Amino acid sequence: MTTYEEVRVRERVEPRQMFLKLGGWDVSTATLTVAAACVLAFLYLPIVTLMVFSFNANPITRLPLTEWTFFWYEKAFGNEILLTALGNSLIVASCAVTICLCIGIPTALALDRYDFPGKTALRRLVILPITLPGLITGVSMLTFFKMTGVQLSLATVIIGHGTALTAIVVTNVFARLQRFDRRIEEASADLGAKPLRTFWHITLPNIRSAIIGSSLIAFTLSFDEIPVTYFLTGRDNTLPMYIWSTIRRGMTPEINAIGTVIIGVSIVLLLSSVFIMSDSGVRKRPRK
Amino acid sequence: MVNIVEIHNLTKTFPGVVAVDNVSLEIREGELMTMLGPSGCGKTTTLRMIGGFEFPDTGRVILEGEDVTRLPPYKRRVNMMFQDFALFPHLTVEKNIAYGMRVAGMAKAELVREVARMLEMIELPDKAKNLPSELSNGQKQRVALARALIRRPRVLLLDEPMSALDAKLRETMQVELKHLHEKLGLTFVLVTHDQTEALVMSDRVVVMDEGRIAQVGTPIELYDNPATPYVANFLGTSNMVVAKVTEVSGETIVTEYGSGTIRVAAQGKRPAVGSEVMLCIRPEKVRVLLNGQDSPESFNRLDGVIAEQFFHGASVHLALDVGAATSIVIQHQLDTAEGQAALPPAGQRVSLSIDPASITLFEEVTAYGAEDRV
Amino acid sequence: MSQSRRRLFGFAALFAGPAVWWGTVLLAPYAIMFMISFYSKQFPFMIPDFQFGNYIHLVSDPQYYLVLSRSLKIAFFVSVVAFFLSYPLTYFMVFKVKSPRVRLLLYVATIIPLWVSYLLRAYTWKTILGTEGILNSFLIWIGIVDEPIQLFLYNQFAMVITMAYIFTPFMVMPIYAALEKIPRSLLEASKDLGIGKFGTFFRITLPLTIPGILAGFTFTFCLAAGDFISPQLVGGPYSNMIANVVATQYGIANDWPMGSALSMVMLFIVLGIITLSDKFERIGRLNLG
Repeated sequence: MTTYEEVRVRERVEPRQMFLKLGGWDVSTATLTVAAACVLAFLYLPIVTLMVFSFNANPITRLPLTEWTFFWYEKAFGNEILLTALGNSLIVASCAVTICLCIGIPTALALDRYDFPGKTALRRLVILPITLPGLITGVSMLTFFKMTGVQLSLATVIIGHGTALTAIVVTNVFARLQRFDRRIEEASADLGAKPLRTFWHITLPNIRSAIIGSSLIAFTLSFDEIPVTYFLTGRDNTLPMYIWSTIRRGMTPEINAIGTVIIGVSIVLLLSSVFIMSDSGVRKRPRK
Repeated sequence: MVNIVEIHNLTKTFPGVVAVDNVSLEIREGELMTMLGPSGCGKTTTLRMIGGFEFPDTGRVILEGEDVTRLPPYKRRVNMMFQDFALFPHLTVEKNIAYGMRVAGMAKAELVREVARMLEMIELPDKAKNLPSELSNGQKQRVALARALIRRPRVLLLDEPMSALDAKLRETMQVELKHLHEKLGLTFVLVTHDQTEALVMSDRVVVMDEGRIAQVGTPIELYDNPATPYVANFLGTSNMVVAKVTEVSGETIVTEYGSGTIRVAAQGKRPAVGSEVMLCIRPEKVRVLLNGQDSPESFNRLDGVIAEQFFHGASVHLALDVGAATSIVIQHQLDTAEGQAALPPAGQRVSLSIDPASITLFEEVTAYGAEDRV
Repeated sequence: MSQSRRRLFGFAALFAGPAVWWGTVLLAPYAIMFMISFYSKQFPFMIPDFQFGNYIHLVSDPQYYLVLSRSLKIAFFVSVVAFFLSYPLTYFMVFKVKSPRVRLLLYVATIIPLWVSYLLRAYTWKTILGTEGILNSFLIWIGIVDEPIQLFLYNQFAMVITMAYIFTPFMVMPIYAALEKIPRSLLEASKDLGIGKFGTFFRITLPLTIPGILAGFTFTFCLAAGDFISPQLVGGPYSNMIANVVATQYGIANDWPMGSALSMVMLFIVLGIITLSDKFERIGRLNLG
């Protein structure tokens, strides 16, 4: 047993002895800072590598760097197949997002506002495609299309992406609806607005940021999707499928160039979605 | 007087609870009526059924002679000021106010004029372009008021209008709302759990308890003649003491409390001799007799010892031990020099004088204790 | 119209379309896949004879067992590495970064790689670890080694590194949320009661973040176990994961019933893990009071 006296003595001494001070920082904080910096570096090293080598003249990605060039960008943007694939990807992503919104918003509303048999089952089912490996969604839909005799094409890819990514819209919009103060809808009805008008003028503007944010995320994910596309695409290639087929054959800095562009665009999309979803951008400043 | 709203036998159940239980009520044109009660007593549900936000299981809501029981809110000429105001967060103050008339299709020029008039009325013309998130709670409340009033409703419903305001602002707004009510001549139906608010503002008060109406009346009626111990206890502070009936003669009932007797005006009640009854004695109706002061012959006299003092600013509450289970709390005014000089110290023996007519007798004995008298 | 009739009507108008959609593209495919997993393969495609042959085959052929255990092992190591990368970083962000703006910025910076093409992130590791790659050429350039080291790429080590890199953000997110939720007063109370920094960490902070850690493990584990792109890119000969086998069944092997059976096994493993971690997480949450 330790007496009170002993405990007090130890308390007085312990902090000084346990932590060496290094210029105002104790060792644990310093270690932690270094570790955090290393992890961040680890996360960004490959991305930076990709970007740097997209400007490096040497066709083999190795150090030391040789000379600065835009050659790989010119080559990438002169590549017909690549451009077609890019076009396909943009079409797929846009159509998939449209599906996500048309299906996702009503689903979220139904989950938020109504009680119906199978509601819990639906909630589980809807998020399956983002919890299960993408491959399972891919092969199950492949089987489905094969059995129903549907030809694989960009359309099947779009349906596949629509199915896999609607969950993003559902979960985001549902979360926003749950936080949503239903009394402002009552206030609108009280002030004479019929239900549809209330939905357009009151409900929609207040869940808008969740809708835009999740659309951007869904777009980015669709643009980058492989596991589902891999099984559902016909003769047409999307950009990731094209890149996939190229890098399996060998490496070319052309991929670095197109990768850098994709990263740039993705980051812009992501940052805007974060910005919109956090609502920090939505008219916080008082208007004059 | 004309009844603008009548509700007949309204009942509403939610899963597991009867929120409103067979409530009937008439609201007169132009009055300020308050529904008062603790949370869960059914007052808000009743208000929401008048507004059309809930539909009753049974019963009817009549507005200006028309049955509106099943009409949705957007088809009723009543408007609501919501608890926490429910301003549209994405619309500016002027758009919030304009919303109701815009929906109604008012011409642009007239709408602008009307909104300006409303902004003038609530004294916030410089906030027209601000979003609700940039307003203080007091300002939000005024915007909510203007938003409801621009539709010129026949009845304005106010759901806990003061709950979001701090104590100081609450008092100011109570007076402002009352003035506004007088100015507009509009019917106000207010819901609150704050008894002071109800007493200060209302023409009539409906006290509700567990989905039923306990009593309806003017604030003075309710205060002086509470129908049940529940009402007596809920409105103002009171001594609720249990006494034993020793004699019933004519208009007077004599009871025994502690070592003394208390005579009470019968007011039509006839409790059996020997039964227990509950007496409601308001602290301010009890006088302390100092230095052999006299009181009318018909008044009750009780002797006791001052046990504790509780300072309340303009007055002090004294807890008196009269040799019974519960002590009696009385109010002693400190607003005059005499009053201050005459404050008896703790431990002193004093005599009390109580008018028998100021005591309310209940034949039912309930559990309402003396906890919040001080 | 009565209130309930009106609500029913609104619900039907709202949900009829989505209901048909979910039934067709989600429920039906899963159901069909489940059905086919009992069929048997026969040239040119398959025959609908209802039997358990595929599942029996899965259990009896050691090859599948090997792939399955390899997938689970790799997924486990990926989760562990991701955890040791994530925890110090998130702890630093939540407790050492004082400014909320900087904290948010760092957090977003950690999440951003998630949105940078998954394929490209796997691919860069190939360019980094390859024989001719950046790491080797760097080592030769600065003179540490003379010959390129073959050990970096095309093995399970490369797979673990690559996947840990790819999935770390999924570990960071729930841990960050869990750490941020801890009331500072708890830590102050612990210190006030005379417990040092390390004691406070192991007795208060770590136990309170267990639900977050569990969620992170579930995410990374399931994602890694179901990946078939990284293994093909950086894995080399002994790196077939279960997802690769599924892909092969639907491709070259053209044995869809077997592929379906494997997919069903994967589906149930993943669902099992999610349910289990959900249960543990709930217990953890209850302990939080």
